Amino acid sequence: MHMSTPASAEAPAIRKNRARFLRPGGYPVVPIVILTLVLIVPALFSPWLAPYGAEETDLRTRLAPPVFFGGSWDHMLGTDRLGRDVLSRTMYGARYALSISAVGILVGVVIGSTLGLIAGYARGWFDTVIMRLVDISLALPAMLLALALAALSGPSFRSVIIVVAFVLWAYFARQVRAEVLSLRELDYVALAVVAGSSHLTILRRHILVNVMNTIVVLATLQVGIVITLEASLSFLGIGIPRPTPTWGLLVSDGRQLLTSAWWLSFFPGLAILLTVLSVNLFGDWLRDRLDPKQRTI
Amino acid sequence: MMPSESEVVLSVRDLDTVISTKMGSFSAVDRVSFDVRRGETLGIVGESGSGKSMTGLSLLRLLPRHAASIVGGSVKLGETELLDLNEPEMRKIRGREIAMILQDPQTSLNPAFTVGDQIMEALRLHRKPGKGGYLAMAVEALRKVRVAAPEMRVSAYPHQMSGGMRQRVVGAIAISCRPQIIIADEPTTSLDVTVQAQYLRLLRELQEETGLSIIFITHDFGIVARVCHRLAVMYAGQIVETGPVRQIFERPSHPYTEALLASVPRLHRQTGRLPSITGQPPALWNKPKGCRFAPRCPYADARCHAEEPPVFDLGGTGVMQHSARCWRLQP
Repeated sequence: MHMSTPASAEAPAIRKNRARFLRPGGYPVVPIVILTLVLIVPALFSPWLAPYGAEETDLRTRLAPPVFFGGSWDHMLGTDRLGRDVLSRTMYGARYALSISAVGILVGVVIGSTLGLIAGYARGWFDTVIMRLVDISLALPAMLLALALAALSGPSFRSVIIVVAFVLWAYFARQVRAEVLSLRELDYVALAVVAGSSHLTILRRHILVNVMNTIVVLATLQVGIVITLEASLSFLGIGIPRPTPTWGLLVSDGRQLLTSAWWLSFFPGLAILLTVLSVNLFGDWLRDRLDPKQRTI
Repeated sequence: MMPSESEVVLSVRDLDTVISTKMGSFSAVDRVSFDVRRGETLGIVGESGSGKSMTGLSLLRLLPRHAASIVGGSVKLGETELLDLNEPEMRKIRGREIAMILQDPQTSLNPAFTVGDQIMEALRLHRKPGKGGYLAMAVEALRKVRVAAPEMRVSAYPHQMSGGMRQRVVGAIAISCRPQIIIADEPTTSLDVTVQAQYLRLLRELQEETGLSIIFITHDFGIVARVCHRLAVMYAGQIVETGPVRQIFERPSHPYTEALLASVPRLHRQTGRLPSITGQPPALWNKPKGCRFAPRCPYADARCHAEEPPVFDLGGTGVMQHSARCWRLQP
């Protein structure tokens, strides 16, 4: 055991430095700046900010490389096979990344948490039914469901949301139920019953409030999964249809030219990477922040 | 120390609570009867599994729904028969008439709300706002349990307080609605000794101020001697001896009480090993046919093993009444 002492003494120092770099003044400045620049601003303002339209083609400048790799400032991040500006398309793509993850996660969280909350609190047959549904949902590959949905209604924004919600709800139901099971045994819940509180009050004040922390943190950590899921759906051609510039589609379209025109996949891929990383770092901070033990008078 | 003959607040008669498991049903509380008078502290003492906590939960009708149920007897609060009330009516009794303090102050408070919030939650359920609103009432409740600087503490979170302070807050919540009875289920086991002494003194002072009755569930005879007026000793679901604390300490009549008292360490007298009670308490599903204590009793004879003893009255009336469940006491 004593061999590990120097290493473990060093580890907190490294962690501390990293924490200071990512959270100067205690706030996650770096992740927030990246998220604002890569995701939020382009999602809201790309029609005004983007240098070109998302589907604007210029066949004379097809496959132009980015500016420092022999290209020009006209197309800073290069163009694709139809001469569409990669920067503009990536900016427009932020809009889909944001809306799909926001709506999809919201739907999944609301359905999953509600069911998990009731299952954990009420127990009995409802609990059994919900948990078996969770097992089924987790056993069923998301891609299979997505294929079925696409076959039924055609690929669309709505079917992507349904797939996302379907994949996510089970995680939330299971996690929330597990926490509720342990929370409901705590003395303050018993004392609330003794004080004459109703079930609804107990669920809201004593149980939901204390799982909220978990729900929020878990939700932020799903952003990465959702963006990747959307990308794979688009990649398989069962996500949002072309020529909509979602990040997943952009990466997948660039794949065939990866050796000759790497920038087609690289920049949208970089956007995915930065977004997922920042959201996760932000979620980390949020988890610490939401811990009631960190609150002061 | 002893309250004068005052009115009976809670009267329990032949309370029967049954636990049902896959192996069958067993009575965990077996024909338990006792009275609690105004301003009195009744101690319920017994080892783990003797049914003392189940008795407390039965009074509030808070037994786990599928696992346990009350099958007979009567619990009367004043003139109201609690066993006949429906759930909404019972909810009005809980907190307003009978409150509870539990063992562990670490988990007795919700970490997400300030202590003021939690006191006000109980107040909103059962009382109209006074002058200055619920907040002033919460501050007042904290002052009553001797929390220093209650105006500041009211907006503190539980984790900012020590264990003893939190247990005071739990006490403040319990008394805030001015209940007639508080059921205290081992409220001091997780506090250290000095804090424990302060807390017991606080309970006694509150009792003198408000005329509160307390049912004190514990296994610690030291605490019983300090706070209780009367005592009920439980063994295997039954009350085996009940009477005034001093009388039981001086003249224990049931062999179980005697053995329990003998195994309490004493500073001045004790030399060598503490006596212990041999054997184990009987399992709920395998109770002896005669006296339940017979297998461990040094005095047991053939009749003890064959026939269950009735309760023998040892004299005294009202608060002084002393009785025990043992054949040796047959006149």
